Amino acid sequence: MTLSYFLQTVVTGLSSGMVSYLMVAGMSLIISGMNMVNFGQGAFFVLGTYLTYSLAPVIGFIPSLIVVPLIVGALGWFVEVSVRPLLGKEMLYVMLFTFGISYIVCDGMVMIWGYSIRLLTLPQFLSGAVAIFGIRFPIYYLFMIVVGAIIAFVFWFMMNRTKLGMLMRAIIKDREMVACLGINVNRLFSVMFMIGMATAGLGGVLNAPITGMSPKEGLSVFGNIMPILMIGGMRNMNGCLPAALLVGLINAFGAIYLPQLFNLLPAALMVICMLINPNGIFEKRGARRC
Amino acid sequence: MLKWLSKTSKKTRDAATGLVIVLAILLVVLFSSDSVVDFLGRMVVYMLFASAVNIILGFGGLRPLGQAMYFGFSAYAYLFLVVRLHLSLWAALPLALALSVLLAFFIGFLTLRSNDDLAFAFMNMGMNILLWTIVQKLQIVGSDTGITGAVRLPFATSTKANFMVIFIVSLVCIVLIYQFLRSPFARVLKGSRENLERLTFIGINTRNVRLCAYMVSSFFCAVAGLLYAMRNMGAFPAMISSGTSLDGLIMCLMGGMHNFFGPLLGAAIITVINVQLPIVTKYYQAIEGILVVFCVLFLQGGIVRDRTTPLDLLGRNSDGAGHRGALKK
Repeated sequence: MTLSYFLQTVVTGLSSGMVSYLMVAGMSLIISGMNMVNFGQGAFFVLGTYLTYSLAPVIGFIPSLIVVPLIVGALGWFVEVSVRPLLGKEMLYVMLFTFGISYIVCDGMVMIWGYSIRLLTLPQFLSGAVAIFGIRFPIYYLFMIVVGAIIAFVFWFMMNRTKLGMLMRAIIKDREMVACLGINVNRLFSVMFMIGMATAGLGGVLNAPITGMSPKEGLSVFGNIMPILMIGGMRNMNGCLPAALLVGLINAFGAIYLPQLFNLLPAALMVICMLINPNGIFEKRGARRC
Repeated sequence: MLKWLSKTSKKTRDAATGLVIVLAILLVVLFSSDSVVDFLGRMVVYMLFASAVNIILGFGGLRPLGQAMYFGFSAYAYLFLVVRLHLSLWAALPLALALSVLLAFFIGFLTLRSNDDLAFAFMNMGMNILLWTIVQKLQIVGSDTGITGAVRLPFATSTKANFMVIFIVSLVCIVLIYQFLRSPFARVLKGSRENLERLTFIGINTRNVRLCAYMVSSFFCAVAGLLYAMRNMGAFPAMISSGTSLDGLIMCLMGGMHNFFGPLLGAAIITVINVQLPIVTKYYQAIEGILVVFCVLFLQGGIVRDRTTPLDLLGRNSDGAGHRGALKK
């Protein structure tokens, strides 16, 4: 394997890792903050992709990077409001509810867009390749890495430097205490849920020009992102980015060397990681989980 | 009549209810065509599947979101052993069951390790989808179309004879599950549902208890899978999909998961819906989703409620003793 080929594979892996990161970051926020798993996330990811197919030719690709997450986030608000009566109750109800939502959204997409798998043509300045030190990289993949890095930074900034992030960290530690201090927990939950959904939608937008998706894929997306979530640690938001990039790289190299076992490599890695530490290998030593 | 009913023990009443169900099904089978018998076969298999899921869902207090793994895996293993490796049926049956239980041990060990209910549910579901993807991609198990082959038992190849095999095996298994749920072990299991921390105080290894229950449940799921493979004469990706897992959960939820007969009733209802709905509309999955949402929002206790179940279990706080306590250790 030549150096240029190696570097190109690295870029491919990192870019696909970034797309998964957007999905996982939202998931992890919802899991650790609200103590629920949102199985609708995958369906909203695909919804983001399909909205881009329809919106990008009209308003352009870059504006749809902003508009589509907003739409998906707004839809997330409806989901959150309807799931609210179940939040204090048995965990199973919430899971089944989001499962049901995902089925409804998937079939709604079939109703609107049909089964045809499509691809999006990129705007001029994002298509083609750029040469760095004589090695050619596709511009769009670099663009994906940049957007993912920006989102990761925004997430870090939001969680560690703003008031909202402070409240979110507080609610992860101790929900009752936050409520006792007179903070509207329900509204905070709504915001959290919408942010989680919007990042999933953004991932969908970034994914639109690369892979064609079928509307029924809403649930099978989970097969890809579950290893990331378990490697990074389910309730550990800081572990998402390294885990996502790691799995992206493994997928990219696995596709070249072991195409037969392509899907199995991240799963095998996950099993090994779970045997080492069931709470994710990026957990800080001695960190108190709650 | 009513007075007599109230005087008898719970066991006698349950036996009477079971006898009525068995007689009703047999009566229908005697006077109906092959297509109805075929449908009933599916219903009986799902009844077994639902009660197997309910061992850990209703009585164990876990959320098994991926029990279709064993339902589908045993069928695939059986078909693979018979069709591809040319083993005899009698050797393949126990081997497929053993493989499924081995898989259950492995996955149960992994998922129960972190002592986190949410992680357990999520991992189960993820593993299920993973297996489904693998099955769909692997050429050797027939990818999209699945494996087909003559896997019905040699003395029961006709629809009705095969139905009788399915029926008798399911009946035996369901009675076994009933006996299992009355055993001292099941009492410990119910204890782990009610208060995990307390059981740990008493000195019981709750993780092993849950793992055992998980494996028992998976064993019966695998039996149901084998029966379903015999009925369909094949194993198909739909059997191992997360939709089937969800069906199992909805059956338990709808019928009432703290009662032994709840899942049976739920299985009957859901099977009718699943068979009839795709004939009427293309968007049956959305309607199923609406049904799920409806059941979750308005039918939380299920149709058959158990009066002995503590009420707070129906509206238990997800932050309550079981979950939070486990995390804090």
